[in-house]
Amino acid sequence: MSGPTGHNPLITDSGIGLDEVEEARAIPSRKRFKTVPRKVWIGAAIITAFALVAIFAPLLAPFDPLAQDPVNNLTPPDSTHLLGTDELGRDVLSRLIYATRTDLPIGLLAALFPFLVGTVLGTLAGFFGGFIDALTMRISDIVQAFPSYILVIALVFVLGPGAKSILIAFTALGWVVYARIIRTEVLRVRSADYVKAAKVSGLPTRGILVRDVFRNSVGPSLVYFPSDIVFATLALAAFSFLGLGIPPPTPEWGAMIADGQAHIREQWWLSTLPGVMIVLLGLGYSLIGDGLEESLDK
Amino acid sequence: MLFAIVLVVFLLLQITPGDPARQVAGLRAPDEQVEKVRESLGLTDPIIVQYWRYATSALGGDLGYSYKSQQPVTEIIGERLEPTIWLMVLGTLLAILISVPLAVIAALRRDKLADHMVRGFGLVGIGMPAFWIGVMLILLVALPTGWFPVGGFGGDPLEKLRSITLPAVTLAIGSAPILIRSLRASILNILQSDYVATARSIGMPPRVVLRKFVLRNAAASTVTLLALEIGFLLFGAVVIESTFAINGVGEGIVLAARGRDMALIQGYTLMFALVVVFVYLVSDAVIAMLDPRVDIGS
Amino acid sequence: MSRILEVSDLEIELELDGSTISPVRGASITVDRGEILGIAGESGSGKSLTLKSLIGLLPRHGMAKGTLLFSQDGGEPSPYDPADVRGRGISMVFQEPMTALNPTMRVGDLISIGPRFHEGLSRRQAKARTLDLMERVGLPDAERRAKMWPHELSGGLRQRVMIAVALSTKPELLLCDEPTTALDVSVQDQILGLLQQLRTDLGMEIVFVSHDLAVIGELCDRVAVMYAGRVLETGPTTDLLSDPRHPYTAGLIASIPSFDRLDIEPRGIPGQPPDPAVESSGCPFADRCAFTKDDCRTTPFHLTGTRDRQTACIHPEVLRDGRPA
Repeated sequence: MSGPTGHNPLITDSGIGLDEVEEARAIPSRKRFKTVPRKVWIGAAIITAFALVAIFAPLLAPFDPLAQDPVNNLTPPDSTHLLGTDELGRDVLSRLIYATRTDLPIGLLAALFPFLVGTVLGTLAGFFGGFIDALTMRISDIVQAFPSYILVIALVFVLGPGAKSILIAFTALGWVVYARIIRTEVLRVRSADYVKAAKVSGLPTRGILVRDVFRNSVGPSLVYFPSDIVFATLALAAFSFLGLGIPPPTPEWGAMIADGQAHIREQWWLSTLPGVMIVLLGLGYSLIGDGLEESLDK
Repeated sequence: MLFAIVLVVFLLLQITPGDPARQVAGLRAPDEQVEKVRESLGLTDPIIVQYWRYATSALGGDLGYSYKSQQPVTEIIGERLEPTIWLMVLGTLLAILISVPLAVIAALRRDKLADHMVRGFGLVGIGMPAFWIGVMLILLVALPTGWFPVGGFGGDPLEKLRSITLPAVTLAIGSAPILIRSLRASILNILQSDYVATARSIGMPPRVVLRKFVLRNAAASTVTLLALEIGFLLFGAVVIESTFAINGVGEGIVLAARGRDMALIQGYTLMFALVVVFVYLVSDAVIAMLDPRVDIGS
Repeated sequence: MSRILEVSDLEIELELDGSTISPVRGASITVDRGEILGIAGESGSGKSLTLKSLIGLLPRHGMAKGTLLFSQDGGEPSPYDPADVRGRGISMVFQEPMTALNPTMRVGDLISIGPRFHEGLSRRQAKARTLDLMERVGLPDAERRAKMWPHELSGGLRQRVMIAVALSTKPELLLCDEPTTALDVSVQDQILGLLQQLRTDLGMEIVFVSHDLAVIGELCDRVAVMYAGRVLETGPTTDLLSDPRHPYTAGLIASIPSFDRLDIEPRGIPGQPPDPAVESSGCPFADRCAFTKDDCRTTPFHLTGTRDRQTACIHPEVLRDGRPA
């Protein structure tokens, strides 16, 4: 918009004024997440603590989590077994500690793979439109018509129990959400004025895709990611609880809750403690997700 | 859409490892007998024919026969429907009763103590596995008070109600954090809308504004929200039924998966998918009733 | 005194992301009996917030200071509670007709809810009042229209409904926040005509906020020009438009496209308004003004002139020496 003299007057009577200035400041930069709220750090601290426990499990756990001692089973907490023993005489504390090696990485990957697959597909669909977009959306429509967890049961049934099946099943179904989230964002950003401006001024297409569009679209996906990790971890625990997940004797919190249910009357801590672990882990991720959402809003 | 669902379910059976003919004939049967069984089961026909047979009989209500349980699949599923219906209906009602008031309070008293408490509950609650909540309720409510059975689904309607109460409460508590989070956001959105400002500008007191301007507009999105979460709720039913030994379809599908009963798994998956489609249709109709902007075109 | 509204030294502060900004820094406006006052200014001048503060509709983290006097029963203006006066003396018409009407209420119900609550009218009485109002605002076929949902009406009709809603509580003063900005030009004219009619028929006062000086010129008796949270100039419309006493006002006038003089290009005012987070004491327009002198920035901001004609410019004589370069 240039006036007769060639310079750029801010025409003040058409309501552009301050709004245009806001738009200009919204040009993408990595500083999108301005002030990271405190809760993100608290959440990160919790997750890091769990990660450290997982890494240093052999040093931290007093016993071998798989070592059975049927004679001394179901003992209450005492000086040797700080949290008692389970129905096969295994040390509960050690099993809780070692379970981090199962629940943490698998839960994380079960959300990471869908994130990667979905984000790539969704960006392509949103940016290039046409056939890719139509195909992706059709497939995701069909996938979304199914109750996803039920389908995971079916897939796990087909593929057999274990971590690999769960990861495959989750990836095959979970990518859809990420694809939709980022596709919406890409479509929104694509039509934003500053992208059109860049196109008009002749910047190459690929450059536009990677730099500006993607960086501005990935926000909501990143916000959703931590809560997806929580859902994935919960689902993993649930499947193990049902006997369809990680096969015994590998320590896993959900399975421990199932094992402990039969003894809930006397040895209530067998089922309670693993649940507390899951809640804490969930809290950590949720704080991160919530905090990211707050800093994205502004 | 329906055909796509049936197709996927059918394909599941095809890729499952294991030989159905051998399973029927017996592990030690001679090969030629297995072949005869295979022919009689129609497994030697081309895939398309098999699919067509399955699809048409399924739509006619015949979901095949489970050799494991020696019963037609449709019968098995039918027997288990009632407890799950009780659980889902009561659980969803309780979930709404908990979530809506809490979300409204949190939205109205934004950033004050009540809001922080509700959101805190949400953060912690999201990480709580439904089965763990169930076990905790058994520990803290059923065992001490003896008012509710720790499992099973009872005889006369009063017994049924009593035995389904704790499971329904579990379902409600398990879904509340997610529902509250979305509802709160949606109500906050409404509170900042122009039409609420209009209401205030003509001096409407908070009570009236809440009833006629806020809740009415939140109703449609609440229904949408519930419909979207149906997959989550169904899986919750699956897990909770296993926790409380309720003989519903949730427990059924888990047993089928554990017992590697292929026909039954197919049947359950199909049933759940149909339930989801049905729920979507019903919710669309309800939304059309609640929101005058929606066209009842479909 | 024939004043019905007196606002003195209004200051509004907002808290955004931990920092405080002052979008309104000492604004004073008055409304006389039977008058239509226009508040002109660009986006960010504080005019909308000023209006909203009159009925206490400030954003969540907002604080207002100042003196608000309103004549509630025909007497002298007296202090009032902005939250109380809503629907009981002052009403507001909003900018966006598309979003200002409750989508889940029928148009007729929306118009009658005010009277039913404030005056305790019965269904039948409220219905009569509603139909009457709808005709008054130019909504023919009122009986049928009253049963319609907002989304079934066009923008112009919705704005009329909005006005009817505002009128339903029989206000003495009607506040209009850019009510024509979102409408087509032809519809704009109709609404302006309607407002003028209402003033004549109902003896109502109107405060009309807009960034469009041309629209204000058509409708208002007096104008207050706002910039960066302050009132820079006030006066009767014809006087102000033909003989502006502040360079900013002159700049605004020059930027109005005119069909009569196609040879004169509308000229914008180069530069941007000052940052609302930063304090300043002198003239807020100094950085963009073509005639700035040294004492413009150092002399504390104040208004001079008569009751009906004021300006904040300490060197208004520059405007008599010709149009700004």
